[in-house]
Amino acid sequence: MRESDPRESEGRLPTVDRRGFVRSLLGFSIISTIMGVLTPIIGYLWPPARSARGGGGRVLVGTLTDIPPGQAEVLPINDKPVIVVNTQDNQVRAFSAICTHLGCVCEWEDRRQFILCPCHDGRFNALTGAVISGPPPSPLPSVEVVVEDGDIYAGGA
Amino acid sequence: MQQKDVFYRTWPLRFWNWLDKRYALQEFLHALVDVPIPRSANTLYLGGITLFLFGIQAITGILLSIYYQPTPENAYGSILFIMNDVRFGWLIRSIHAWGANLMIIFCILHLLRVFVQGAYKPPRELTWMAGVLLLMLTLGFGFTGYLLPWDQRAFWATTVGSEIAGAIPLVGQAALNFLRGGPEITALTLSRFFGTHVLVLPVGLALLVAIHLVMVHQQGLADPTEPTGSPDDLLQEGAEGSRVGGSDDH
Amino acid sequence: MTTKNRESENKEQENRLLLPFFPHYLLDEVIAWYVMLGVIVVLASLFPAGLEEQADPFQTPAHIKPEWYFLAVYQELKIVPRTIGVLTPMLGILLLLVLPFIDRNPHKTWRRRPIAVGLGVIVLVAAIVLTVWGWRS
Repeated sequence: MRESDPRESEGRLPTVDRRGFVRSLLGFSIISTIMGVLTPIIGYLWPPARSARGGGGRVLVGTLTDIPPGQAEVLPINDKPVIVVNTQDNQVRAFSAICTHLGCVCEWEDRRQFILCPCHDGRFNALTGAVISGPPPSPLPSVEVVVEDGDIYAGGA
Repeated sequence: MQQKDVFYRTWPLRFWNWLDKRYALQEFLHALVDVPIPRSANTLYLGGITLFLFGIQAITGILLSIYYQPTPENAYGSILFIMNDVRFGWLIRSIHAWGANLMIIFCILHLLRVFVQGAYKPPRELTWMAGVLLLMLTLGFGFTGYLLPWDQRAFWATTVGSEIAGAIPLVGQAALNFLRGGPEITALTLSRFFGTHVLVLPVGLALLVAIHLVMVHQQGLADPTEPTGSPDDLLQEGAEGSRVGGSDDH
Repeated sequence: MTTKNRESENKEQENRLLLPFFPHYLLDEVIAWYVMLGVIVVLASLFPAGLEEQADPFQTPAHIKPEWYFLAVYQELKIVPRTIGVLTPMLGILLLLVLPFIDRNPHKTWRRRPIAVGLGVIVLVAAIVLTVWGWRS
């Protein structure tokens, strides 16, 4: 990439003199050293996957007496808020309580029996998680939930 | 192609001139860099390597502090996390550990070289004293840093090490309590060792290194060849050394 | 430089004796750093830092030793009475600190400083012996 010697450039091959060659080598070594130092640093700063930290097992959240029919509770399950709903016809459901609109944590609207996001009045169906009204773009993702002998377990596969 | 070259060459140059006009950088750089070195000086690069290792320790140390958690509950786990989960975490921590040992080795070798060459003699008394204090700070880094992983070796080596302070006559117990933040090694010890290791010592060392280097810069490197005559001549030579180091108007 | 009143001959002689810091000396220094970087990465890769069991304040493991740079003091403490054992290194550091004011010998070469160099060698040998002793015991 250096300017060539005018004597040699007349219709001939472009020349690479020794100085230019050595300079390219030097530049290459400097750049590769910098890359070699920066790669581990950037890799290190990039947050590692948290999968190693108990990505989620089944968690005992309570009994049916804790959450009677027509009630719901927001509980931390594997570090994330989950709303566990026991509908008036005894169906237990669980959804991520993080509103799909802007990430507020939803609550239970006891009087009218739906899941309500207090930030912008987003409303979700308690049985399916589907949006009833308001700005949320998508339904609340459901979370696995099972009832065994009156104990409610949520999370896990 | 020629135009391109001109472009690449001019713009950085222009920017440099722009800055230089405002801040007189050229002069500053000359004063910083135009120090003649006696040809017979032989530093073996030991001091420079020590400085380089300090730089490595600073960088890797800052990186480690991003994931390290200085509490007894979390310290060990966070080191495991760095070693196993963080990309290159094992490498960064291993470099920090090796750098610590190498820095102490090169500090000592640097001191021995200055001793053998008699470079501590007038007019460089204060440079020597700053250097000895730097070695002490470096050892302090080693002592405080050793506890941070909070494993068995760290905990008990610190127990035994700080016990030594308790043997000082009269003030032993007070010194021990001050060191540990109480009579035993607890969460308080860990957090004060952490604070010392990542804030107090780095600031102290950086300042002292700056002083050490300014003193070297002002006097120039010592010439280990035999001075002739009396100690008065020696001071004369020292004065000359400072003149040579300080002059920069070529 | 204040060489206006000097003779050019003098200046020439000085030029022969002095080497510019930049780039001559700095280049050597940077090469040394580069080698050091390589050495430290290789060492860290081949011998990564270890980690023992989590600290347990109620269970002392066998063979506790401080880091190698404290081994000399550690061993010295074992073989002399406690108070002396603590005060000796402190005194040593103090003497090291004020060494330029104690050592009034104007000569620089080691051949003409028998006392300083002799004492230095004794201290160094003692430190090495104590370190090895502490390491092996």
